[in-house]
Amino acid sequence: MVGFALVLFWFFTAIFADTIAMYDPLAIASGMKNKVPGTPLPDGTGYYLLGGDGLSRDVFSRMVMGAREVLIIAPAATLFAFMVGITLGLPAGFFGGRLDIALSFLANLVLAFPVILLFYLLVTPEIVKTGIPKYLAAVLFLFPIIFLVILFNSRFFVQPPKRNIYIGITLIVGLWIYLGLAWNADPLGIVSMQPNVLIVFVSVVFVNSPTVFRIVRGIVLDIKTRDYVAAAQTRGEGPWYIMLWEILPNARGPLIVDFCLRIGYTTILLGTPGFFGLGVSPDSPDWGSTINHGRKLLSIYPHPALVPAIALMSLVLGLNLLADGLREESLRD
Amino acid sequence: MGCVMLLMVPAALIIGVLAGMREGSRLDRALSTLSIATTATPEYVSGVIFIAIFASSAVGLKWFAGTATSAMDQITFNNFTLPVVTIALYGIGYIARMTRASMAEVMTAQYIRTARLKGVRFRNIVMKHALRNALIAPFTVIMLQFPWLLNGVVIVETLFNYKGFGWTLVEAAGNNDIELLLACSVVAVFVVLITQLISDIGYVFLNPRIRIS
Amino acid sequence: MTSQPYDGPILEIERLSISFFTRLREIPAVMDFSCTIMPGEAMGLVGESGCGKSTVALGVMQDLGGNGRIVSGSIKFKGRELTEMSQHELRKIRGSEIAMIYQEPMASLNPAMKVGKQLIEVPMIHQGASRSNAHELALQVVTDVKLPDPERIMTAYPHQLSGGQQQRIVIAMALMSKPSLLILDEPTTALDVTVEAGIVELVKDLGTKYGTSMLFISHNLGLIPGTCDRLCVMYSGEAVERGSITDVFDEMRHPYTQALFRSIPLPGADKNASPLIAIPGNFPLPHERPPGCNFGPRCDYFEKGRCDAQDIPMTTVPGSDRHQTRCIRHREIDWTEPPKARKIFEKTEPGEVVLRLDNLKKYYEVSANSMFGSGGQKVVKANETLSLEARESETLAIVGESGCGKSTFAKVLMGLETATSGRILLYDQEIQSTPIEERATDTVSGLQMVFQNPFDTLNPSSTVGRQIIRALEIFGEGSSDAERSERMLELLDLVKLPREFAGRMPRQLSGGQKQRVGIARAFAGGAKIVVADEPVSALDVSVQAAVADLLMEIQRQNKTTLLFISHDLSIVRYLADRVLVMYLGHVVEIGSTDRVFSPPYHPYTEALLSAVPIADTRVRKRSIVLEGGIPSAMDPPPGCPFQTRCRWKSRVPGNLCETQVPPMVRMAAGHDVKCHLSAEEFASMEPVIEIVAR
Repeated sequence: MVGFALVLFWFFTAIFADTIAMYDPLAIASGMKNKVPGTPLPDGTGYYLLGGDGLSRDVFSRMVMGAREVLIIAPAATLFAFMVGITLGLPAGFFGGRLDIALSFLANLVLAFPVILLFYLLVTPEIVKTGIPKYLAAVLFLFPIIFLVILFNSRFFVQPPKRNIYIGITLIVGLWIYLGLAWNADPLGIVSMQPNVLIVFVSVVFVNSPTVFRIVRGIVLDIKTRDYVAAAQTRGEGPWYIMLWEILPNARGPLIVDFCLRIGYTTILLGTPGFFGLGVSPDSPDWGSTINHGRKLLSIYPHPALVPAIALMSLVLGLNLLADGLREESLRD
Repeated sequence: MGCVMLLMVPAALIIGVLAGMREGSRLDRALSTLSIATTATPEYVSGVIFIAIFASSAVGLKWFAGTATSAMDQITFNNFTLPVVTIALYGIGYIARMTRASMAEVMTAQYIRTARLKGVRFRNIVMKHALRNALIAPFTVIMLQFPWLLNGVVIVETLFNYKGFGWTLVEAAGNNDIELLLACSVVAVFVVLITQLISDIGYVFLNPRIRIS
Repeated sequence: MTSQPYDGPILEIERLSISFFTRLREIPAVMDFSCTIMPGEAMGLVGESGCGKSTVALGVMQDLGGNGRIVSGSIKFKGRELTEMSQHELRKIRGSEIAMIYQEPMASLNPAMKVGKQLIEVPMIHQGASRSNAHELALQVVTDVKLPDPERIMTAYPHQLSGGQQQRIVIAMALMSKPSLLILDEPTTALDVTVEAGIVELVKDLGTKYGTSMLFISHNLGLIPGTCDRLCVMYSGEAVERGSITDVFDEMRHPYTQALFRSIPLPGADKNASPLIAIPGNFPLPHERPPGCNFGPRCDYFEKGRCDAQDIPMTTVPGSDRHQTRCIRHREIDWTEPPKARKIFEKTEPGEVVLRLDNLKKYYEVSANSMFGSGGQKVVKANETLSLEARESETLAIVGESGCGKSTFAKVLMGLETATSGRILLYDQEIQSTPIEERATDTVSGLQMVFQNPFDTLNPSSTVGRQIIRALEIFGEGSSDAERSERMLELLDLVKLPREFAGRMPRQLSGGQKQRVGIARAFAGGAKIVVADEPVSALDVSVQAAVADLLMEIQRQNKTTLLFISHDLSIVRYLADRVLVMYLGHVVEIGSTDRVFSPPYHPYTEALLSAVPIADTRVRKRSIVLEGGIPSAMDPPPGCPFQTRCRWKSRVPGNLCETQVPPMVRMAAGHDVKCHLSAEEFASMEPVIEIVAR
């Protein structure tokens, strides 16, 4: 369970990033420019454990804070991608027919589009001006709410009071977060997202959901021929109950495995715009942009780029190993 | 790109088949770990590491050139190896894992047991009975790699300063040249769609169960 | 061929023990197993699933996989020890001297290789034959296994052949090098009965023709008398009894064998007068076997202190031909004593008509070329003019092979599909075009279904109790959660499951227990009509009887109408009041069970009856083997659906059979047959099954 250990390590690093990081990741200490790892600060207050970068900032602290950035956005983006993929994949696989053809075509279309192009297109000021990224966000972020509402309604429609409570809570909390994230119009002003981050986030969700869609659709096609699905149909269950409560729980195995793999993939993807200096602000400690900054002086001072590169690699490796372990575990019984 | 495919596909298939033919063996474990490690390394990380190791003037081995700018005029082993290997590495891991999974599944199939109990040699079981069946699934995956390959091309071209398609794209975005950007998109999508078509035709060729009547 | 003259036993297995090793523990799969097969002899190996019979076969092939190992004992093939052979020597024997045939023909053929190529591989490896010689040999063997048009078959891919044809190819492959020993592991289980009958006949003929010894593994006792000379019964990893067919069938000396025969529906069994006796309890798990006799806890003759005190050895039954049993008390037990505590039931009289079908038709439209969608529409006639009546507390069996339209019929009845034309009347209410979403709750809860596959019928990620409660919720039973969970516990009582099962997950239950939960769920809303789609065919024989009896009992209590869909005529004869025989979407015969099972028959019913294996040496069957396979419903033959395979066709004047669908002819009150044959021809029919009194 090396994978689990690696993931856990980065997870805790992210949680306690404030305690672990010794210096402000943006703070500049004079005389520490491109210093090798272990160099003490000139004022004698401590060391730059992993050296200083081209702007005399602490590489170690930047790496630790970068972990936090990655571990917030990557799982969240993956989760959203799953919500979208599941909400569309279930009916496509279950009903088949024209709906399936249309949705599958759409998914293939998105898949045929190189991710990097999408990043570039969405970030380009002219396109941002048209509001496309924003509308995209508005549509994509709606799916989790739809998903939860259908989930509770199909399960509890036989007991209206219970259903109303669950759906009420979902709608209030969901719409509040939705307003904050997608439209930056949170009435309470707590939930918000930087427009740059939003674009990256949206494009990551956008390119990941078709793959999830295809996986879900495939599993549904398999499971819907099972007798327990037929049993649910013959007792008059609605299609959404069957999809969400009979099929989905039994699809969880492969989905959880894919979830782990996909977080890794998303982490890589999130680094990509950073690497090109797109989206996220240039000073941010996220790993992709740090590598980008570091690579210019790579042949002379490798460490500022190498440290986040290895960090990213180990996290993704951990996630992949974890997914593999989970898959083997699920095959056992 | 051709170079990449030429290096990536055979290498990945060989690794996958070797790992999958005896599931759980030491060879399998070693190759699987290797392929997981390479999939965990995006091009912008492996590229950086390669430059640091093989081309860095401070601590590196200085075997290869750290840029491919000169490869535009003349492709040499020295200036082109690193970019090609960088792109190929990520794909190798991915395809090898797919091939391994599919091979391992085929090796447990009943007809492989039938062949074994017919007295067929292990080598012939792998070559004649398992291989074709095991390649059906990864084949589509290989072709689906294309969009991702384009991704890698853009990154690697930037990293190694090779002024090709990807570089044009980056330039276009940098100059806010929306027309050029859209043109690039059209070219990219077109290339991808062509590969999808090839993949469908190849699939029919590999899998005798699908026949156009 | 390398076969030097040898006249000792072909296969000698002595005190063989095989175990599988997992990370947790050693799981013994076969213990202390011995058997001998003489040249030309056919040995049957019978037992329920998990008893280790397939492991024995794999042990002989020395192909136990990564974690299986022979712990002790020896396997000698023609006097040579197999367990000590090198991989190289084994490879020379496999395929050339020992060949094996498996259950799933489709899975045992390489899907990406032409059939011919797979066949000629065998002589090319073992005899170094040239390609053309091997091809000639293959052609000859393909002709031997009675496949039409061998040249064409040789160039086909496996998926282009039907299941029966595939199995014939697998048999041909096994016979390519004329082996001395042929191991058949459930070779017909995946096939339809009429196809099965053809394969069994073929195996028997070829065994004689090639002089091959056979090890025939099956869970179906009925197949043994026709194919084998000797028999070995296995239970929980041990051979419990072995001997000649007549010894074991008629003078069994082990309580398990006796219980097994008492739990299968033989001709003469009757659900009211002489019901089946299920074996109590469950099959022990390999790591939870009891001390002493493995069958002890389920045995009627169990004696504490003796049966569970020591390992029971195999002992010879005096005065017989190599008849042995693993029972310590076999000399004390009175084997002729009739079973005690047999409950006898009053025959229930059917009540009013609750369900009536009138000329029901169901056609599907499929596009002929799905790849381009422009090839024009084709119509699959899944159900053709289906008419029937079912009464209260009656059991109506619907019999037919795969593709006959019985599942489509169930779907239309349940409302998962709507009828193309015709009427379905449920208590005078037309429901043929009401899909299930639009049906009233009590219509839905009154018409429920029990499914075939016990491993599939329950949602694996939800507890047993939760699933029954959900059914209660949706049927609007009970007004509060507490009331519903009380009702759920009562339902568990009804199907005779302990109440603790409410909190269990389906994977913790055995097949029979899952099927009981499925029944409880179907009766949650007080169903009046239950469609049971092969509810017992996937269960082991000893469990089948118990589940079938449970259904009967609930039926008696609730006056339920049971529509029992099955391909197994033995169980149908046992529990149905009336039988309906379907072929290619047509009802070809309908009538009371007695009438359908005795002449005059529809020609298809006649063949079906002849094909059903019966585990009784007293029964004499006329063998009627149908030629060819079932035509596709996409492209049915013109005229009578059965005309392509009918052996009576020549007795009908003109080409009536090929041009006209025959009318339903009334044979007797409530017995209709869809056939062109004249009354005289019908009168000349002889019974297929006769019980020879001794």
